[in-house]
Amino acid sequence: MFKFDNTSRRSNLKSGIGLRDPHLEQIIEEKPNIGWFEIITDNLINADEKTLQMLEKIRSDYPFSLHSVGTSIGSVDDLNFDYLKELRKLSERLEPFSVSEHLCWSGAHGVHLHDLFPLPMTEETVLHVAERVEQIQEFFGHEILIENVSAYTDFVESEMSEPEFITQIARKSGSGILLDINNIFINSKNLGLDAKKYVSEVPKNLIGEMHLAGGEQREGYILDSHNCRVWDEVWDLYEYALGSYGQIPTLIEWDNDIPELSVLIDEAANANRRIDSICVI
Amino acid sequence: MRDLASIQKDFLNGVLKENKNKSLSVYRDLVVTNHLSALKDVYPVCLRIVGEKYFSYLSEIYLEKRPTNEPDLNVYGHDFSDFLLNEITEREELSELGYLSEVTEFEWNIYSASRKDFVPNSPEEIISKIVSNENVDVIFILNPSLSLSVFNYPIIEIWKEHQNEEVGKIELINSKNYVVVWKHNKDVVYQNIDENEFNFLNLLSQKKSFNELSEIYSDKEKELENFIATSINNGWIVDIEIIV
Repeated sequence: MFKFDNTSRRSNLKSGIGLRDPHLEQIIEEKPNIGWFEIITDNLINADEKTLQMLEKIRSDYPFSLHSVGTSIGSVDDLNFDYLKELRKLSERLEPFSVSEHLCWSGAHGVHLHDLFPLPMTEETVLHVAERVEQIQEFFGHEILIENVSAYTDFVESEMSEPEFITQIARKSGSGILLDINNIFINSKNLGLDAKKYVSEVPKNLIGEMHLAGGEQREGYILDSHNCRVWDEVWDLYEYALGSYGQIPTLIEWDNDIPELSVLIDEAANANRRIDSICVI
Repeated sequence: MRDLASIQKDFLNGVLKENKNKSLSVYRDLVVTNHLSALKDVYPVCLRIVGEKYFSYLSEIYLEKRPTNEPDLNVYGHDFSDFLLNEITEREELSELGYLSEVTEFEWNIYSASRKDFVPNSPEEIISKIVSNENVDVIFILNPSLSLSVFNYPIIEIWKEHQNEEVGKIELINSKNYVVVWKHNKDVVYQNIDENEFNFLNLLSQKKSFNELSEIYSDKEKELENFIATSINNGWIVDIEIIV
């Protein structure tokens, strides 16, 4: 049985950025001042040896976190152990400081739709997901972090709040939490949650990582688009989270319309400035 | 109260079909866009042939009729060609595009070959292995990226035409076209081959051993020798396996 608790292993990592194809060569050549990189593992399944060797080269200079999108943790279908084997292989090769997945489902009843769908927040779901997270952790041989997702709908069946839901699953399974600050902000706007209350209700010893990203205003909702700079309201909520939790490794997510590396480095510096001014080591 | 399984079933039905539920329509739009984009990456020539608007329409129908259970989006669209084969027979607007399914099969073969990663032996290494094992039976290992297709249309020419290459006038006469696609060094290569070469490669894909091949080609020894030599030089055979 695993039991994530960050009080015994506070990380001194500050902000990191996603490692994406267009920047690989530049990073190897210039070795920029970045705290760490996040790898999306799904992009590397069946990757050629040359790409993996490039990643290993970067890994020798920077810590990595591995983040997945395809596990479908909340699905009623069986876990896909062929997929998990690929993730474990990558994890063994790249030795990340954290491995994370989304608290969501992407398909069920034999259909996979490659999106991150929200879950009904019920006792049944808590037990179902916690058991699956335990299976994954047993398979990997270590704890994972589960991430709160953005949502555009909720379910009348839900019996608890979102922070209560993710906390219960983390406690029952022994996993940690990857708290996506942008997703909390988006859900506060799309679904009417109280963002600060959300932050204050998640136990700080369970948080292993935080995410920041930019969204896109659409007609009637905000889309979690990851294609622009972090919004001011999200920075405000991040500052509140730093005040509540202290220093936590924080990722700047930018997955679409990927900009020059310098823009990502600048966003990471914006996060670091806040960490330095708010957190007392 | 619905249980988790029922909630997920209802949700998927709502996403896969056009619906009036606004909150689910956000998810439907995201799913449709994501899968369309994956298909566009694999099938650029099909996209050029039918146009952006009709391709999007086909992509949506494909998603509804053949949703995948594969978590890796990189292999989404593997049976798009087979799907089109059915659509061509059912849709009048596609009746003039009988070759569309074959074009997409060819595009899938190119895409799949490009994603294969392996370290091939050089022809000299393979020949040396054969010579040093001349007293035992062996199986010839095919290039893992290699695919074989029999097309009813001149697919390579049609494909080239949509790459803006000068190919001259294409006659869409029905005749068998045997096509091999494979990755050689770092490039994907394609070639029309004749029926005999095709049949030989087919036998290799069935893992026929050298002794079995010799029996099949008992009255055409020279031909077998040539096929093996060509296959090694072209990078179709990449290794041998000794039968114990």
